[in-house]
Amino acid sequence: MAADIRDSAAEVPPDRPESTLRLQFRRFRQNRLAMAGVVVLALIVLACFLGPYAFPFTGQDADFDAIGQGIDLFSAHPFGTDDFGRDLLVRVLEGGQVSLTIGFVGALTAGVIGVLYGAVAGYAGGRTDAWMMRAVEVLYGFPYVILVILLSLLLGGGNLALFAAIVFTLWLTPAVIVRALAQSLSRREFVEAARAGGMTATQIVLTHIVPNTMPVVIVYGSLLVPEVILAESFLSFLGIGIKEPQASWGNLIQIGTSAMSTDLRLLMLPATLLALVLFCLNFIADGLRDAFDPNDR
Amino acid sequence: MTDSLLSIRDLSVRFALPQGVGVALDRVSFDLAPGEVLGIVGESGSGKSQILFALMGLLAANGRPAGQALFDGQDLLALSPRALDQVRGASLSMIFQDPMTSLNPYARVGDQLAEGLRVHKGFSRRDAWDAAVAMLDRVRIPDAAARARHYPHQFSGGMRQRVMIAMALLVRPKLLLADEPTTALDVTVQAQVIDLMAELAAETGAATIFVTHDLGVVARLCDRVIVLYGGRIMEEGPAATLFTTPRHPYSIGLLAATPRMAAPLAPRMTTVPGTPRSGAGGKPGCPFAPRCARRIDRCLTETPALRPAGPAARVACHLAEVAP
Repeated sequence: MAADIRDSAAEVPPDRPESTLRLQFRRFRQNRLAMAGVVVLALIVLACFLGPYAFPFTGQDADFDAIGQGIDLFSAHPFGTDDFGRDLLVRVLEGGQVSLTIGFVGALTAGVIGVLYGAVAGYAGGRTDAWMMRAVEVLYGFPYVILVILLSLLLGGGNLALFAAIVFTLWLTPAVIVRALAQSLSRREFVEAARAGGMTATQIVLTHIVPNTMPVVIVYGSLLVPEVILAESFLSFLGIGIKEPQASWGNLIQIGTSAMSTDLRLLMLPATLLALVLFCLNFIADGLRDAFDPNDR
Repeated sequence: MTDSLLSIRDLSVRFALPQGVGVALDRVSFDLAPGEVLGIVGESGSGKSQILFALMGLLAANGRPAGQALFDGQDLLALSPRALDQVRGASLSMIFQDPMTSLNPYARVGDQLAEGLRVHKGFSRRDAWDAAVAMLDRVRIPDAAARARHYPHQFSGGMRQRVMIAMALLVRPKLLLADEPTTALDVTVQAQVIDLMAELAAETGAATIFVTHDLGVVARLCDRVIVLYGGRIMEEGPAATLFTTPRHPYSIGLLAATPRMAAPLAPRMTTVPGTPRSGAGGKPGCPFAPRCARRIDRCLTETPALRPAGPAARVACHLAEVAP
């Protein structure tokens, strides 16, 4: 009998362990458009973080010999300078550092908070769940721009207030999504088996609920990043986000729009980069969704 | 009995339903000795799985247990959730019906096995992993060391149920609860899994409660059998005698309905006439009376008590009293 089981052909082990997540990422890699998005995005990120080192000046150094210089690819300022003689390209790259950092770190923070909150609410159920989700609904109703202004007052303005405000508003949606998932997962048999195995609620949430929400969370997270970048740009554009002289894509675009009628160049460079990044992120999100969709195997 | 591992007294389970209270179990009492293998058989809706769920504290939210279930001196029904967590998975394990959904698809099999040892027995990550691999090998997973690193979707149904068995027995429980562990498997795989469970339960000395509607499994594995109908015990006795001389009309019908390989194929399969009455306990009369061929008037008005009938056997039937 023992020999029968071991020898049966159906049980020849697969070559190597393969997690569902890894399988899904392999499908993602076959998506050309999404992979192109990854490559372009990676190049932009690299350019933003390493590019400024290639220049002998920073984005805040004014070159009084070249105020308002136009595009001249073979000069010291390939994309020209602004009204203060600051190099436009370097400023756009430095602004990219700020925008991208806030985008990724903000999405990550909002995602982690939302996932944990939603998983706890969904698994706990009952009254706990009801209270936690009512709290989310109340926060949903809070006007976002007013919140940012209040937080800037509270935290003395600056990047931290902006970051806090963005995270504070954007963790709500992942919390709602994950809560619904956790609710259905908590009725699955492997969660019941874990409870039968004497796992505490904390252990179950962390080892069984959260990992199983990952495919959805990754897809949603990839949409959250452009959302955060856009929120930062929007707020900086309104003048309540990143403040001069520090550059971000939002405030660079704002400066660009004010000079739009005379010199389109100041608008085009940051706006193109922002649009490109958002395109890439959306292609990536699309690819992830295709790869992770269980109905599309 | 003083030497019993599990002693259930008047266990009832009631469900709050929109149309009133449903009684899934009605004052069920039995004992289980250490190392004993008990089979609980009955049709769907007889309440057999609810016994296990009540013991494990896993009843649906609208279910309320009543009575007493002394396990190792502790009343499982009265334990706080925290205290229950220390019993579940440490000295009380359960094997679920469907192995396809009982494993977390995003965790490596070895990690899932090792989890119990780390939580309950304070094993280090490494020791727990090694023990998990050894146990996988015991349940005859080929190339266990490599397989432990694999994910559930890389296993077949029979292998997954063997993994579940490994998981349940890894913590060396005193009592193993198996809820129809073979119903979701192919017939050929069923036999392998059953033999494996019997072998391992005997080896680890775990007492086992098998809940099943498969009389073949019971005959093969169990020392003692309880026949459940409508949330009440109809008959209880040693497997050997219950199968040869069933006393309760329901047990007789159930045995007659078992297809036999040796017998010539009947034009129609024998069945117990009528449809099972579920959750009907609590009303007067024998729950089986509406379907019983040998019904007398008394059956409809008076609930028969579970009375001793022969050595180590009990039966709840008015007829058994009159004609022993």
